Amino acid sequence: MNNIASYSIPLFITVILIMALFKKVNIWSSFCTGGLKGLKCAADIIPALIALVTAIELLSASGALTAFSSFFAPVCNLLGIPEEILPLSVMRSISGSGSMAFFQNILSEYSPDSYIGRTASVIMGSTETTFYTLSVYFAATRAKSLRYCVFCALLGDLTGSVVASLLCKFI
Amino acid sequence: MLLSGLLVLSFTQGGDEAVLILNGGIKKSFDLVITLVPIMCFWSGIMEVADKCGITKTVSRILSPLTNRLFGKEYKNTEAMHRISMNMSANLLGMGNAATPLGLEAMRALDDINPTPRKASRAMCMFIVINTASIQLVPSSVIAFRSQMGSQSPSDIMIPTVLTTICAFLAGTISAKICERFSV
Repeated sequence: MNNIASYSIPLFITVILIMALFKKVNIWSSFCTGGLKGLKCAADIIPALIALVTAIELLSASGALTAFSSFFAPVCNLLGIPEEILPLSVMRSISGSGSMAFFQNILSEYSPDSYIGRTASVIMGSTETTFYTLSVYFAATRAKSLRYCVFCALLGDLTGSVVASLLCKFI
Repeated sequence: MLLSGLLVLSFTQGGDEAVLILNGGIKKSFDLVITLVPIMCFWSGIMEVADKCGITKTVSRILSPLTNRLFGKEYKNTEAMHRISMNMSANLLGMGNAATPLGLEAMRALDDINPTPRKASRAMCMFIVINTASIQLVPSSVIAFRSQMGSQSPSDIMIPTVLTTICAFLAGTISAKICERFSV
């Protein structure tokens, strides 16, 4: 199964290029026009990106997270998320490298095949770094108000953690 | 966010430590920018080629039953919808690196047609929610890591992971749909 994912990118590019040859598109000049567009788009979002990534880093280092997760421990117990997993599932939404470190800790402390280890793996595999995605994508727009977006994204993450904790009891 | 993080840090760990972490954060964002720029450039180039030979239109037609339901008919056949379709297919195939630049272009296109630029449009919110739940069919990096840590059956987690992603995706999109109704 791993092979499918690792071949998808080369295959994707090959198909596009073959199609382009077939339809006699000027590949070189379209690639350059498109590349320039991408470069402009990237340049526009850099300042916002730097500010947001730095802010997230500060926030996750400030320890506000641990305070937050201990506060919510009772609620999560009710939802069936094990206490050992909680810091990971909170961190998963905030920082990719941070949650990877948590994940590593969990796997070396409990075995990867234990219930805790499996639940952690499913959480790692099934959700994205929500706040990172939010900041990168909104950096590309002029929007100042995100409306209900953060709430819905986090609700999705929470659902992921709950479902992961539940499903792993059966395997 | 910057302010609160900085205040809490200076308070709990002293000013020196706070500055250290601040610099670390800035460096991290720099690394991100450095990796992002060439990737964006490359994929935008590839996408331009794909546009020219009509692949984008085909993909967006294939995905249209799904996207029409999620975003509503008003976005049908717009530039933004083509970008969104490409981003979703990249996510499905597990091409994380390619998905981000495509997603950014989709956001730009949505921004261009947003009637209220200061407020995120419905389609933007829906698109972000989809991307944060990002449906991934093969969690290859997690599987690789598990076997590295000595797991007996590293790919045990495949099926639960896919099911969990789908549930998270449904929870996110359905709640976004509900919120759409109630927000002005």
